[in-house]
Parts: sequence; structure tokens; C-alpha cells
Amino acid sequence: MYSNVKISRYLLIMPIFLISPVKAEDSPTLPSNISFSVQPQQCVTLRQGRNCYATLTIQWQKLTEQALCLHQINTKQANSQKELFCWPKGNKGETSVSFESSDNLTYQLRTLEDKKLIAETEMVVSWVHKSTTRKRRWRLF
Amino acid sequence: MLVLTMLVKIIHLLNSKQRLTCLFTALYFALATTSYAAQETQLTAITHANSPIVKDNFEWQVMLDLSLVSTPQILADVKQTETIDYVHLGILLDISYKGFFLQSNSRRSSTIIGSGEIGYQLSVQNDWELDLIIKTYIDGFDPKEIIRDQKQQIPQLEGLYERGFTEGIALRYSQFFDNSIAYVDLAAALTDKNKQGDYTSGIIIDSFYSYLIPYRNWDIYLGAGLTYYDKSLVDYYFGISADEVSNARALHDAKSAFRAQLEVYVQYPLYKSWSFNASLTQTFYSNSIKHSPLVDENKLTQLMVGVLYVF
Repeated sequence: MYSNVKISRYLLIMPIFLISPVKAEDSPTLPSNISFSVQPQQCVTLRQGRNCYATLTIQWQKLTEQALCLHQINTKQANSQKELFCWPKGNKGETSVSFESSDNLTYQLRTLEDKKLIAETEMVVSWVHKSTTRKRRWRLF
Repeated sequence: MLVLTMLVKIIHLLNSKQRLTCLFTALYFALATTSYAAQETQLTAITHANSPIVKDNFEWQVMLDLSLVSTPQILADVKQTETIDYVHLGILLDISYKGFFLQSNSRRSSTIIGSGEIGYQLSVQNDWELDLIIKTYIDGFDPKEIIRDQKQQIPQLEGLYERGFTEGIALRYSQFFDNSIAYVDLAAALTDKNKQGDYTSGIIIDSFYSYLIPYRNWDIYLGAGLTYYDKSLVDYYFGISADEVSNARALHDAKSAFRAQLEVYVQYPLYKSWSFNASLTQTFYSNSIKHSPLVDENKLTQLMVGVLYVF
């Protein structure tokens, strides 16, 4: 897993734009020595409100070894946090995730032991046609 | 139907700009006089669960279409000759307000090639809708222009009078199902003036069924249509009058005709505001059209591949 990509340790400590700030109450001091990416970053659906489907490649690298878990959160739905995958102790990881949602979803890396937030990024859902009250007409015509 | 025919005649005398002006004037009067009605309708919708659905509010959508289209022609020996003949660039506009609407059927390849509808929602219910529609049902053709564009001689068309477009005013009944819609138009149609300055009128019954299969990010529409054309209309386009008879064209009195269509249309989102669309349409015309000296093939396969930008 992730063996064909070599990234220098210098690159690892560079700030990566994919890492977004987290909520202050959740983790006021987010570690900066990690890269965390979700590709693609955007899923496009034909109409606003419809589920968007994509296969995401999720990668992370860290200077120090740690056992981490991948969490998926829908901020529009309360208590919708799901633990998707956990990696054993290491300094990098990669996995594929099936994305199926009409809302933006946040992906977080948390420690296995104490669930401390390490990094997060958002998968954005956009659309071609806006939602309309003329659903039936514009859906089929 | 007589009233509808008279309306068609009036509409026929207007050009596209005047028709749009009429529509927006009607929209203006609807706006100016129905401010109370709007509140009343909303209240009605809340208080009576089985009451009719409120008519469309103000909605609009503008789309830019760029597509490559292979469109075999029903007229004998007429072909797409230049590369530009395959390229279609168009603006599709959907707008509605208080039951009035102007719409383009962007889920059918025929619209990509160009056909809009102006209408008014007479009744909107949960499962069905009744609309008054004005649209062009049959495109015309100018033999002189066709001959000028074609690389080969087409004796069947030489000296033939121009056939104008046919517009119709129709009552459209639409029935909605979970993932499909069926509609039927009963149209009073009127052709453009012929060489003698006369209009030809007739009935068109146009029906279509469209079934949507959403598959992941794809929309797949399977469609089937059946259209009936009155004898007078078919004769206007495909009949040969005594003064049009030539060595390549015998006198021909056309009968009423049917058109059947099968269609697959797919749409896929490429990026925000951009989608890919493609379609395959198989059209069959009845033998009454095939028997015309102007026609040698009554089975046509149309292919379209393009992109759509939504503003």
C-alpha cells in the first residue's frame, strides 16, 4: 500500500492546502507534520439534492508513526460520524472509499487510541442543474 | 378545436419576437393582477391536502449546447455535406411564472436540434397536468436552398415549391409516474402559406413516453413516441400537385401518416455546470410517407454527442 510513491521528508512537513482547520473545541492544536489528501476533491451530480457517486483515494503520510483511523462525517446530519477504516501503527496509509452522498462529507484522521483529531478535509458535492420546484417537468423535460 | 385553429392562425401571423412579446405581456398581466391570487393559492395548498398543486413559480434556466449531430434527412438524396452541418450550437431557455412557461426539452435530442414550447398550465395535479402548448410541430424545407447546399443534383426537388413550417396549438395531457412520464398532445396545426397563399390546417396527435433510469451519476432516458399527422398536412409536405409534376416527380396525393420513434438519451455530469449528453433516435415513418416521390427512406437513425453548459 502506497509503496510506489516516494515523498521526501521535507515535503511531508510542508503545509498542505488540503488540510483545513478544525473546530477549536475539537482540537485546538492540529499537528502540522502530516499530509492528508482525498482525491478527487469534488463530486459532481446532475441535479442539486441527488446522491453523488465517486470512488475516493485517501492518502496520508506522517513524520512519526501512529495508528490512525479514518472517519466520515456528515455535518448536516447529527451523530452521523462513521469510522471507515483503521491502519496499524505506521507513518503512511492509503485506502479507497466509495462515496455516495448528496451533501458535502468531511473525512477525518483520528488516533486509534484516544480518537484525537489529527487532520481533516472535505469532499464537496456540486451539481449541474439547480434544484427547482418544477421537479417533474425539468427532471424529464 | 375551431377556436384552437383560429388561435393558430393568429399566432402564425406573428414572428418569433412578436410571440415572445405576447407571452411576456401575458406574464405581465398575470403579475399585475394576481398578487392576491398568489397568497390565496398558497393558503389553499396548505389547507386542502387534495387540492391542485400550486402552479410553477418563477424559475429560469439557460443552457448553452454544443453538439455533433448526424441527422439523415427524409428527403431523397439529401445529405449532410459539410462538417459544419454536423455541428449544432444553441441556447436553450426554460422560464416559468405563475403557470406560463417557455421550455426546451433538453432531455430529448430533438430539442438539441431546436424546438421550444410556449405554454400555460391549465391544471396541475399530483399525478397529471393539463397544459396549453404552442410549438412548431413540423419543420419546413426550401428545395432551392437544399439544392444549393448539396453536392449532387436532386431532380426530385428541382422546381418544387417551398414547404413552410407547421405550428400548432395543443392541449397536452401529461401523466406522471415515479420515474417516467407519458404525454399526449392534441394539436390543431397550421402550415405556412403555400404558393397560392393558402394555409393548410390539420390535426396532429403527438405522444411520447420517457422512462428515466438513474445509474450512479448517469441519467439514462428510454423513450418511445407515436405521432399521427392528418392527411392535409402530409399532403402539404409530401404530396405533388399538378403544377409540380416533372419527369422525376409523378402526381402524388399523400394520405395521413404515423411516425414512431425509439430513443435513448444519456446525460453525465462532467464538472460543475457542464454535462456530457448523447442520444440515439430511431424514427420510422409510415408507408404513406415513403410512397411520396420526394422520399426514398422511411427509417432514419439520428446520433448526437455533445456538451451542455448550464448558466
